[in-house]
Amino acid sequence: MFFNSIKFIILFPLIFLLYYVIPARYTKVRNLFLLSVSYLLYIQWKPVYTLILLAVTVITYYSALKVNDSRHPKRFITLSVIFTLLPLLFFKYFNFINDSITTLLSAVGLKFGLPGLNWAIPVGISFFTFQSLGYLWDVYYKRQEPETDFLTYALFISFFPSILSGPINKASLVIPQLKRLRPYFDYSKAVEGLKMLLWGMFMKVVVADRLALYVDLVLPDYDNYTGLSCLTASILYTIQIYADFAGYSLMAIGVGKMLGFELTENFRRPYFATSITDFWHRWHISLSTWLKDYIYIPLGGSRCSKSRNYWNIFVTFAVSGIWHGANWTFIVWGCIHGICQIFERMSGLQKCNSGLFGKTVRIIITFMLVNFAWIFFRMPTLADACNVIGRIFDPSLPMTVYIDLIPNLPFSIIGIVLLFAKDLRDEFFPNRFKLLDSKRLLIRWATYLLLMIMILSMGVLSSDQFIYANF
Amino acid sequence: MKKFIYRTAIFLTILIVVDIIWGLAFDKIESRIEIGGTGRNNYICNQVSDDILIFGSSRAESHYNAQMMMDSLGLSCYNCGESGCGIVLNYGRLLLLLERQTPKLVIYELTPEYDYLKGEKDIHKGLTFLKNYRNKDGINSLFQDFDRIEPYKLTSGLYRHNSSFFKNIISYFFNLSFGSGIRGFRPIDQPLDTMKIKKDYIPYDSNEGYDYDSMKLKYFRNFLAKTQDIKTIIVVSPMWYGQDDAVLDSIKPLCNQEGVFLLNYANSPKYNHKDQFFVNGTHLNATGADEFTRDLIKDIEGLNILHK
Repeated sequence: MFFNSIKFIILFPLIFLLYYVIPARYTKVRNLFLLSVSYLLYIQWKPVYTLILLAVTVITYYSALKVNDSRHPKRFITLSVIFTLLPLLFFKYFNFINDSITTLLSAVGLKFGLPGLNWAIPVGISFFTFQSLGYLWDVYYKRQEPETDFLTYALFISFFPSILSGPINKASLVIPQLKRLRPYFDYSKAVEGLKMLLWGMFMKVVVADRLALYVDLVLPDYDNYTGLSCLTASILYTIQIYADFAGYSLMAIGVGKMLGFELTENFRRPYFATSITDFWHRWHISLSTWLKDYIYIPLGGSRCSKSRNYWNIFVTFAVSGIWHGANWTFIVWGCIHGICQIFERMSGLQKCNSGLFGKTVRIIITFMLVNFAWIFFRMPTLADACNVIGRIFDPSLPMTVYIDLIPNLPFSIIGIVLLFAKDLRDEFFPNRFKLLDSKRLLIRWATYLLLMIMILSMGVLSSDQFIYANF
Repeated sequence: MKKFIYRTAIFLTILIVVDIIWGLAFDKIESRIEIGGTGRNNYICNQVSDDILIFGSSRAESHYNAQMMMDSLGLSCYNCGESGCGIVLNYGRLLLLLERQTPKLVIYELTPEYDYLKGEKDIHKGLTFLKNYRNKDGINSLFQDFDRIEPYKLTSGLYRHNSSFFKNIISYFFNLSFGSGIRGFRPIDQPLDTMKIKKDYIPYDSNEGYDYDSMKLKYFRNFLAKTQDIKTIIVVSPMWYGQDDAVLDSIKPLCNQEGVFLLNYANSPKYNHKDQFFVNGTHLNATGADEFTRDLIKDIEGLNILHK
């Protein structure tokens, strides 16, 4: 159930009130309630897939309990990781691996191929698999005590605000919150959570879904549009995916806060990054932290030779690409990010201090590079991505832009300007122009009201999809 | 907790008041607009009383020169076609029209993806034109069929005027519009955009199979049933590409059953691949529309249905 669905808007107040009806001293009952809600909401998608969620939970729970008692912990953890990864590999990567092998074999004249699967991927599988794997490795590396209470662990994996599209939480952050006696109700945290829910909803329905109308018209049908229209669509997609995913993450964190929990921060104004390395400190922070902790550092990180370090960066971002989807387009997207970071490290660009002008130029260049890579991320095949890029740089095409005048243009402009203004303020003037956090009640409430009016009157309320829910 | 609930309740009350005021204000504004798309919709739903009525999607809206039909057939004519909308809107509009008049001839421009094949967006867009008539007989059930809770959502003024308030402000206060057409006919006065032509493309290729939409089919049947006592012609106007006529196989028996004429110009050699008549693969330009209307008038006269 998505946060912008009418079902959620009706159900969440009920969940919220019922949760707080349970006295704070009954932590276990509160957890049991949240676990039941999480599973009941998950079951809505496809009931049978709840078994996969349960299986991943059971495997990692028992593996974590046994791993350090095992005589061969390395072998044990390898086996556990394989078992945990199996559903993900099967549902998400089977067709990709099968197709790739078939193509490879047919290239050398061999005919072999298994029938493809036509099953829906369990929602959030990449998120809950990675979250449970992170926990397993933390236990193996003795950074985390194994959780003995199954109920607490199951809730950590299935917690409904974050199961569909993250953030990928660390056990060390969430499990202690689940175990300790939480205050009955934290007013300031609940208000903070509502504000996040409000702004996240604005990002999603006013900005992302509005821009999607243009992007989804032009990019799938790029042959029928000029290079300038394709460029416009690619830039709008860059904004759309940010507003969509950061908006969702903000709503997830907000819902968590309303229930008294702190979840991992996932976005920190990524399009103000001054390099690709900086971008990954700001974009999908929970995934980049996961990749750093469980791929990059175990490979040797930066405490090795330069060439080995470059290889580690490249592998980490190739894995990031594969995580996003079973398609070469995602792998190329990940590799572009990896190569850019290797270049930055080789040239020392990251550490280079520049003035205001230099910083602005670097922000623009980083944005353009990220935008270029998003084209691969968005298009269904590498050939399509190359064709879109080809059209953008084709001087023989007319220099005209398709514009959807009313109502999309004014609403898109209003959405983008407000999003940019908010990010600009948060980045450079965090203590000024406070509207949502103003000390004056009138300003604060007027801002809430204006946002609600914009959501209801300008938002695309018929959309029921989040881009990252597909991963 | 009490403070939180108390403040949330106050905020929601303020929001509801704003929502009611917003709804009342924009209901009034919208109903008074006489120009542009909103004015055209108001006119169709409240005033049209012509002898010949044309329904359908953008292909109806831009292909049928109502003035030419009026002059040639000697009967008043209005083009009620609406871009991006299919049978659900057209059925709703027909219900509203039949409340005040019975036309002599109904022409329905058939567009399979809007009228009986799957595709959700067109239903949603179509229903936006009927929001102000949600309480009328038959219209409410259209919303319910699409989404059971849609009628409840429509009680919100902000939701009801979602995305349309900006256009309505411009039309009402600044008298600016984007054309309501000549008797509803909105020709596209542009040459063929070759970039919009897909190579080797055949619309509704039967090899790809057809995914029928039971709800649209239901309303298509209802439409034919409502026009049982009215002369009705289903028309497929010309296409640059032509089309795979197998897509009409499921519609032909329905037309036979209801005694409705089906005129198919989609594969007419006079139009197929003739650049001068088209703006893209599926839409005639103004020249093509006039030429097609002339052909249609001849065929209607040939059928002699208006004088039977």
